Amino acid sequence: MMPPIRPEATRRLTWAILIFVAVYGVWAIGLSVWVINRQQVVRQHLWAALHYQPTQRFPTPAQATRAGQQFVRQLNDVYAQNPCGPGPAYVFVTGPSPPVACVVTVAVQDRRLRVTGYDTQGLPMDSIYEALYPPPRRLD
Amino acid sequence: MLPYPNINPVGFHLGPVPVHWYGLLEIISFVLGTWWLIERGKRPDWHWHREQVLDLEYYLSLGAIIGGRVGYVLWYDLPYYLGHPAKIVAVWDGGMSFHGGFLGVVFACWFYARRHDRHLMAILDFIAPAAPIGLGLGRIANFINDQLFGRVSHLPWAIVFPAGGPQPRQPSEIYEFLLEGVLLFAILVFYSRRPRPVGAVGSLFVLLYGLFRFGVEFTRLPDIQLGFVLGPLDMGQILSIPMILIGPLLLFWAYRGGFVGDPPPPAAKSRAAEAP
Repeated sequence: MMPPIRPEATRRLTWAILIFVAVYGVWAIGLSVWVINRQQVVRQHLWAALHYQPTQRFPTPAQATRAGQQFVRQLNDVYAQNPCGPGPAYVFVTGPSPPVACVVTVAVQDRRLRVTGYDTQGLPMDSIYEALYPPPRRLD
Repeated sequence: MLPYPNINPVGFHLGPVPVHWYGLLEIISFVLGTWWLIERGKRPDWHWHREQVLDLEYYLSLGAIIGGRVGYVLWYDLPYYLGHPAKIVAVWDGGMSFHGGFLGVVFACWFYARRHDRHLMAILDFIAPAAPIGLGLGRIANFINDQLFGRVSHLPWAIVFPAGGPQPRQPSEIYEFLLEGVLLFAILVFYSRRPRPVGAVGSLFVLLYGLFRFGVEFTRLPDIQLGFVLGPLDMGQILSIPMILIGPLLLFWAYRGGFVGDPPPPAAKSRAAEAP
């Protein structure tokens, strides 16, 4: 049978939990601020792409590809810096794209352009939801 | 796919003042929770009078509101509030964090315990089963308010939320209502029907809420300003991890007899002294 817990041990446990919660809470604040500042950039990039993307169906897949590549070049000219990730802000992809953080991809699907944003963790964003609620702070 | 029930967020008007379901459900949950605690306090193993419960509720309300708001500001959108400090107090614009509210309630209980010669863990045991009443009705309020919905889904019960665009989504508020509200309430009420070691009921709440919230977040759309924050985890899950870690530790400590209960009230003391 285990010996009963002494009040001093409970006091030490209380302090340990308090310190853990405080340190963890401060770390979570830092993580949140870091993510929000980067996410702001991706949301802006995604919103611009969703807002300006050609929406029509192209006559051939080749024409859609050319339009997509040109669209990506134009966007990368406007947003030459990608403060969120190491590469360009926009990438034209031809197949299933690997998850890359802070990138907006443009692909051709059924002779239309399809825009997908990848958040700070490289996970695909909702896109339609982001189009409904543009970021409050603009980069330009 | 299910249609979103067309519920007017305004329940009724009191003269020119619109009464929103959200506020109404908050008031209902407060009244129900208080009534339930008053009834619970009458049990011989508790020693809580009606006036004491009402006094405690005052502390709890302040702790939940202040903690919930501070938690939201710090953990969910600090850059925005640093730029708009006047908005920090604008709780009517929305933005409360359960985890902040929980810490606020714990602090309020500690403060109450110091002022009224009681013990923190015993108070947490007393109030824990009532918390799911407010949590559950709060999630219903979220659903009626067309907010905090889930990720895109093609499940048969997915719902097109008007504020979420044309895609069907997981009704994550309903999942949260069922888990954090109904199931958590049922488990805690059932568990606390028999006398338990001091701290056990409160610790079980910490563990189970953390687990339920962590799981449901996999269906919920992350806050738009954050997205996912650490791999596939969102902020709600990050903040639930300490609950999942600390809950079992406290439960173990409680069963080892590590927490002290409230001192018996004067009447009980005198009865004990008179006993042969």
